[in-house]
Formats: sequence, C-alpha cells, structure tokens
Amino acid sequence: MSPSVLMDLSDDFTFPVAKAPPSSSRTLLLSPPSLSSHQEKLTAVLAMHDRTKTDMQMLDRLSLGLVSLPQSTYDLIMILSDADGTRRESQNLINRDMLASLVKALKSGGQLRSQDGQFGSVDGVEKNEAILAGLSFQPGTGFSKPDYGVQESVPLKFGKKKPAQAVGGPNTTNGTVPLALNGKRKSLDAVPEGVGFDDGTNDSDDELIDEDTLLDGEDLQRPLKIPVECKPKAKRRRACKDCTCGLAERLEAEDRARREKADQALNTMKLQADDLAEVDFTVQGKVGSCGNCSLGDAFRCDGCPYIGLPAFKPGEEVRLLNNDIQL
Amino acid sequence: MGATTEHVQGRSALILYGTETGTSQDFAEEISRCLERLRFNTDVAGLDDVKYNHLSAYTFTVFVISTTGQGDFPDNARKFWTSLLRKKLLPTTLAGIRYALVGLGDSSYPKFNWAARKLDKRLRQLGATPVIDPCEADEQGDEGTDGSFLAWLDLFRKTVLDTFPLPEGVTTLSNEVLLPSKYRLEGVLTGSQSVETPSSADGVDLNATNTSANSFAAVLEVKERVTPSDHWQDVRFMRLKASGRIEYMPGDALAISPRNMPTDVSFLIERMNWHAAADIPIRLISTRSNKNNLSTLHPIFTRTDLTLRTLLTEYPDINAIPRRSFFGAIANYTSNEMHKERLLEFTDPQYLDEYYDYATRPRRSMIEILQEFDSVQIPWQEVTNIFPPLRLRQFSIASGGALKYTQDGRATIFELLVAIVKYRTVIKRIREGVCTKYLAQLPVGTTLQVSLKTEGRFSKTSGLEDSTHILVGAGTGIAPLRALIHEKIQHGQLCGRTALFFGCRNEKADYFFRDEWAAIQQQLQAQSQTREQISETNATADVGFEVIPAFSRDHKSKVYVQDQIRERSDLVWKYLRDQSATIIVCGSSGGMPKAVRQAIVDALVHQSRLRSEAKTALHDSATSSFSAVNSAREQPDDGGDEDDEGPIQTEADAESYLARLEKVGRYKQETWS
Repeated sequence: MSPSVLMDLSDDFTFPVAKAPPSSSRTLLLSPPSLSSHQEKLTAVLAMHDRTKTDMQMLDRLSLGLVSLPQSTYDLIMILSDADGTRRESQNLINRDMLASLVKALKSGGQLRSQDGQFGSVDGVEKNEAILAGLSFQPGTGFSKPDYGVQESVPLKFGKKKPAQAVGGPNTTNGTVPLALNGKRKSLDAVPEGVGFDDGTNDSDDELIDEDTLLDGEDLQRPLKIPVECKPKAKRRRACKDCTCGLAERLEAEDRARREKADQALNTMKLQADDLAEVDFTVQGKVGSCGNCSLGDAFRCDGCPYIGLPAFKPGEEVRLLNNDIQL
Repeated sequence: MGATTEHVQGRSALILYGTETGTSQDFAEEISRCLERLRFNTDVAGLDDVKYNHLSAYTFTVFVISTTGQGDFPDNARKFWTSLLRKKLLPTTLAGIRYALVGLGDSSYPKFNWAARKLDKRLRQLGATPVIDPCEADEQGDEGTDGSFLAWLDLFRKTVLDTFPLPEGVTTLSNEVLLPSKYRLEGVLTGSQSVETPSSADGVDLNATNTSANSFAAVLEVKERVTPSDHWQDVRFMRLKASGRIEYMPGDALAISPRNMPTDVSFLIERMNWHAAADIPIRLISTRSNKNNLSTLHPIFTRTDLTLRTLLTEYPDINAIPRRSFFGAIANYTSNEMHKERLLEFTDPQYLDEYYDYATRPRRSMIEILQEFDSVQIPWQEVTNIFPPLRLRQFSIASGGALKYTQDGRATIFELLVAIVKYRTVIKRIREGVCTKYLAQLPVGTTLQVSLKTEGRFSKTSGLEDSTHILVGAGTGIAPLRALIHEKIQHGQLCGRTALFFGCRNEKADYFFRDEWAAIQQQLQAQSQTREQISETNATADVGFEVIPAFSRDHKSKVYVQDQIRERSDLVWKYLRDQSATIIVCGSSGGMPKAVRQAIVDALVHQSRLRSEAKTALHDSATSSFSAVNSAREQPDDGGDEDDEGPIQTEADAESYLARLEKVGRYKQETWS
C-alpha cells in the first residue's frame, strides 16, 4: 500500500519540474537493484515520465563502474525508492565517488532528489556529502548544482568565436554589434599569414580574454616539470627569501658563530702584534701555514681567522680600526 | 676573432625576458650565449620592448619569465601580455612561431609559475608551437632556480642542435672562445664630427630600468630618523616635493633609482686603472652591423656629456651580489691561472654550493670580489657587459588625502617611511641595502629622479575610501595604510569606519605615527561632539577610527597583531559581516600574512559560535536574554547578511569566505621581503 502513497508524493514533485522547462529538459532515474525484480513498480514509475526525455540506470551497475554518465546532461536526477519503499539500498550504494559523478552529470542548476523527497532533508551524513560534492541546498527545493556557467563559458566561447571571425565580414550570423565590428575590422586587417598585421598595442579598447580562465584545474595541479637530471642531490644550502622553516635562522647562527670565532682568533693576534689594532702581516706566524689567508675568502680554508676580511698583500698592513675594514 | 664567431645566415633567435629582480634577464643572457655558440644570431630584450609580430622574424623565440604577486606577470612584461589577451586574435595569429619557455617561480606560493603557464597556454592557443617542454625553475629547488634551469639548458642545447642542425662543415663554438660583446663603450674624440649619440634605433640592449619615461624630479625636503638611536633599526621619515599636481592614491609606490657611492666609484677606477678614461666623454655603440630596433635605450646613453665616472655612478650595480655568469665574464680578464680556475669553478653547476657559500650566503658584492681577485683587469669599454644595471627600488607612499599637496595646491608631496637596511654576515664589513644606504646619506635639498608606480594601488576605482576597513600593518608596512587613513579623512570626517591593527617591537621605539593617530582621534571626536550637541544625542567615544597596537618586545609574552585580531574577534565579525569591510594586510612577507589570515579565520569561527549560542538562548527564553543578544550584535538583520555571504560554522567555511573576499577584492595583501 505504501508505495502508491509515495508515488503520489513524487508526482507532485516531478511534474512541475518536468513541465516547466522547455523540451530539452532531461531526467535520469536511478533504480536500486531490488526494483528490477518488481517490474510492475518500475513500469509505474516510468509511466510518469516522458520516455523520450528520461534515462534510467541501475545504481549497482553505476557503482561498479559498468556504465558511465554523460556530463552536464540532466536537469533532474531522481533516486527511486527500493522495492519496499525505503532507501536502504540506494543509501548504501551512493557513496562519495558516486555522488561526484552524479553532480557531473547534472546540468548547472539541475536538481538531485529522491523519489520519497527525503534525500538530505535532515541534517546528517547524506546532506553533508551532497554539499561536499558541490551541491547547494535550499529548503523547499532541495539540492541543486550551482550555476558556474559564466566562469566556465569564457574559454569555450573564445574558441568558437574565432572561426566565425575568421570567416569575417558583416554578414556573419553572430549578430551583436561589437562582434560585427570586430569581424569587419578583422576582414580589413587580416593578412593570410595571420602574423604581423597588428602589433597589439594600438587597440587598447579591445576586449581582452580573462586571463584567470586560461588555466583549468588540470593545468593548476600539474606537477612541477623537473628535468630528470635535476633530482635533489646536494644538501639544502639556501634559505628562501622569507624563510619560515628556521633554516635562515640556523644559517645565520652558524655564520655568527663562525664570525665570532674568527674575531676571537683575530683579536688574539692583534694583541700579540701590537696595541694599535693593526695586524702586521710581516710578522712570522701571522699567515696560516696554508699560505692562502692573504688571497681572500675565495681561497681561505674553513676556520681561517681572516674569514670575512678583504684580501691583502703578504707583508702589508691592514687597518682594522673601528671594526670597519676599508676596501 | 671575426671569422671564428660568425653566425650562420638565417639562424636567429629572439630571447625575451620578463623580470622583477633581474634573474630572468640573467638567464636570458645565458641562453643567448648558449645559442651564439650554436651559431645563432641572438637578440635579447624585455618583453615590453617587442611586439608579437616581431617574433616571426626569428627562427625561434625563447621566453624567460618570472611570476610575481598573485600569479602575475612582471612589470616589464604586462604590456606584451595584454596584447596577447585580446579576444580578436586568431588561432593562427602566431602560426609558424616556434618557441621555448622558461618559467621562474617559487613553489611555496600557491600560484607557482602561473605567468609562464598562462603564457604557454596562450601561445599555443594562438598557433605557436613549442620546440621543447617548458622549464619550470623553482626557487625552492635544492639549488634554487639555477638547478633546474641549468639542467634544462643542457637539454635545450641538444634539442636545438637536433631541430636546427648546423650546416655541413660548421661547428659549434667552444666555451673557451670569448664571445664578442654586442655593445661596448668608446671614447668620443673631442672635436670629431662623428659625435652622435646612439638612438634607440641603434638597437641598444639596455633597458630603461633606471629612468622611465614618466619619471619626474622631486626634492628631498625632510629626512628624519624616527626610531631612537639605540634602537636596532634605523627608520627614516622622508618627504619629497615635486612641482605640479601629480595624482596618486593609497597603495601607490614611489620608485627611486639609487646611485653608487663616490668612494666605491673611485675604488673601482683605481683598482682597474681606468684613470685615463675616467673623465673623458664616452658613448655606447653597437658592435654589430645588423641592428635591430627592439629595445629602448637607457636614458643615460643619450647624454652627450657622459663620462665613465658618471656612468659608474648612475648605471651599473657594482655592489650587487653577482650571479654565476659574472664570474665567467670576469674570468676572461685575468691571466692569473689560479684566479681564473677558481672563478670558473664558481660558474660550474657542479659547484653551485661553492658559489652560494662564497657569494650569496655572505652577500658578497661584485666590488668586493674584484678587490679579492686583484688580477682581473676589466677593460672600461666592457663595463656595461659586466655589471647589471642598478634597479629601481619601490617604496610605498605614506601620504594621502590632505597631505598629498602643498597648501597652494601647486606642488605634490610624497612621504615615505624607509627602514635603512643593515645586517651582518660572515663578512666583517656590515652589509647595507644599496638604495636605502643611498637615501640615508642623501642631504636634504637633493633633487632625485623618481617615478610613480601604481600596480599596488588598493582600488582601481574611486570609492575605496568610503568603505569600512580592517587594516593590518607591521613595521614600515604602516606606510600605505597611513596613506589610506589620510585619504579617508575628508572635511574633518572619516569616511567609513576604520580599525588599524599595528604590530611593532616596542611602544617607545617603533610605534610609528602614534601621536598622529591620537591627534586624528581627538579631531574626529571634537567634530562628532559638535554634531551630537546639535542633534542632542548621547555622545559616545566611538569616532569610527580605532588603533589596536601589538608590541612584541614590551611584555614577557610576545604580543603580535594576530593575537590582537583574535582578541577583537567581535570587531572583526562586525566589520566584515555587518559592514562589508575590506581587509588590507601590509608588511614583510613570510610568517605575518599567513598568521594574520589564520587569526581572522579563528576570530570568525569563534564569533559564529558565540552568536549561535546567543541565538539558541534567545529561542529558549525569548524575553529575558533579549538585551544580552542585542548588545552582542548591534545589527538586528543578521539573517540577510548570511544569505549574501554564506554561513560560517567551521574553519573551512571561514577560509572559503576569505577566499571569496579575496576574489572580490575585499582581502588584499601588500607584502614585501
């Protein structure tokens, strides 16, 4: 008995929608497996929909990936009730992946509903999942796919327009004023090569494509293109400009310690040489045994006390006044 | 040398760069050298110096482009990019054009290499075909952008040789052969009739990075240190005056070209034995017979009285940290084998670490390197080929509204807040920022060439001043926010409510403009009291302008702007949700902008919870808690707002809410490193 009551309900729901939009409106019915053994129920449901505009898929086949749904096709996707009038079967079968593919199959503004009208009507997992899948919920109407039409259409329009323009001429069917103008101008300017007729700077009032629409999801998620030869090999030596991971601080601390150590070594030498804060490199033992100290940092060894000081000529005095080295 | 370095007829390449910091330009030059060795005749130019129909004149084109800001094109590439975006271009516009593409980016930013990716896509849409897969050099790579670029360059070299094989009997040029410079300096004989300054038709390769066409003169009128002398940071308040009325808006910046210190210039002349040529007139000439007219001439080369000393003062960045290519270039000018070997090691990709340790990490300047490698003798004629040009530095303008013009309205005032950059590395001499050092020593009364940069302008349309603002600034990041606050004060009143969160170290040391905020608040209060006396309503202390400072070093526990934002979640909610406020975050990049964003998210989630609790309470006992709810929320029609802006219940809601604000321009970030 109960199924007939439910039928009534869905009647109320579907009819306005099925009739309101013009002929192109398409509906997809999703049937739980149990209905297939109750042919009479199935027929009853189908009888209420225009066969030419209605498709039906079995939920279990969909969930197994045996069939795939066309994209942006349906104005309404309706989940039929189980043979016993509940939605236990369909609830189990409609998981996150399935929902995602259903949303893709919906046209912008299209709706997803259940035959009993209860899909996602109470707060809970079902509702959350539907929202997660990108549907928006409005009390009274249920779940619908938000209209992103404006954003999506730009690159497409662009591709289509060009041939129309290329054919050119004021006679092109594409009738809006700016287009006709563009087309006309093009036909005057165009040279067969397509290159060199226009340098792109004298038409500042030209319509521009929105550069934000150039890259699609795929472009944005594309992994970095790293040539094979350049797999990480060296240890990380540099901190980023605005390092937040602590490497910059570590390097800085390292450098500071190195500087202090060199200063200490230098001071010891200074005091030994004389008190004028000058280093006399003619004094024996003031140049490291490596002999490279005077050549500058590019040649000095690790831990050289002269690190950070300019190169000097052996035997020449280097003034270290006020800790400021004159070049 | 002539015969050995000759190009093969019909082999030509155009290398175009879009750059902010010079890395792309350096890479472009490196690609050019690589191709010259493959017997290509190459031209290197900034993207905006060419038009896309120039591309067809070359065998192929290489684009080297960095990404700045939010996936944007660099300053010198925007004009070219815009010309490619026109809807009326055909899928065949660039048919027959072959190209290679190098993108420079930083994968720690969400819009990594977007400029390059967008360019790649657009080029293909317009019918151009790639010669090789693009290179995506990543600043985060183990060897920075160098690593992947060098690997790609090797691949590129092989691909080019395969795709465009050399004719029978012609070989490539080995790295030992010195490539002739495209331009060099020469002395101008006095009295000679042939004195003609090169025009841009001579195809001079140097870009107008120092003085752009729209530059103007400004006199430094005020320069005062605003931090105490014992504070770690020297911050200067500067005021410049330019004659005439120049329109500018909050968020605009002033670009200033630094000059080299006379002592550094003298040192270089001394060190290189350039005395004889230092003060005679010189000019820049092209060494090639087939000249192109792609590039614009740097204005300095149009001067008839140009001397080497003037050039060295105003043109080359002799204190720059050298790129690898610098070592290779100067290695050509030493006969000391030990020096030469070491210099070449620094250019070798194998020894990138050595280069970083020697040059980048200690911030060693070119002039210091030339002191050390004292056998290097650069001919003065080659100066422009060895040193990169000094780059303009931009400073956010801190003045707005009534502060923008003199009383008589006949001159324009620009106020800046400049932190003088000084730091230590392992090198004993203190490192100083080239431009801030120059500004710090500049005597009051000096005339500077400056230009206005409007890319950072907070609002392209008028009316920004009228809306409610949440401003978040740290340190000298206050500058553009101060401009906005003054812009909002009109006829003694503040248009649109404004809350300023300001972060600094100490209340006494670097709380910039503290007295000014107090004065503004007093003035506003006086105004509102007058009004309220007339309308005989109750006076409140609320003047619509609140400053909420955070001092990170004044308390035992550090207080940052993000802490204050969480503390004032009520204000954040009220301004954003009820008054459609715009958020502007200014200051150094790095941790601050991220922390602030998170704090705003937290504030919104916290408030939403409080509010829904209050609402429930209202339902439970409709009358008793009414007043409490009313005080928590001043605007009763909150339902309407939520329909517009979407409910915020979770952190994810708040984040996507901020993302939406960003998209409509209500969440702006102006940060620099």
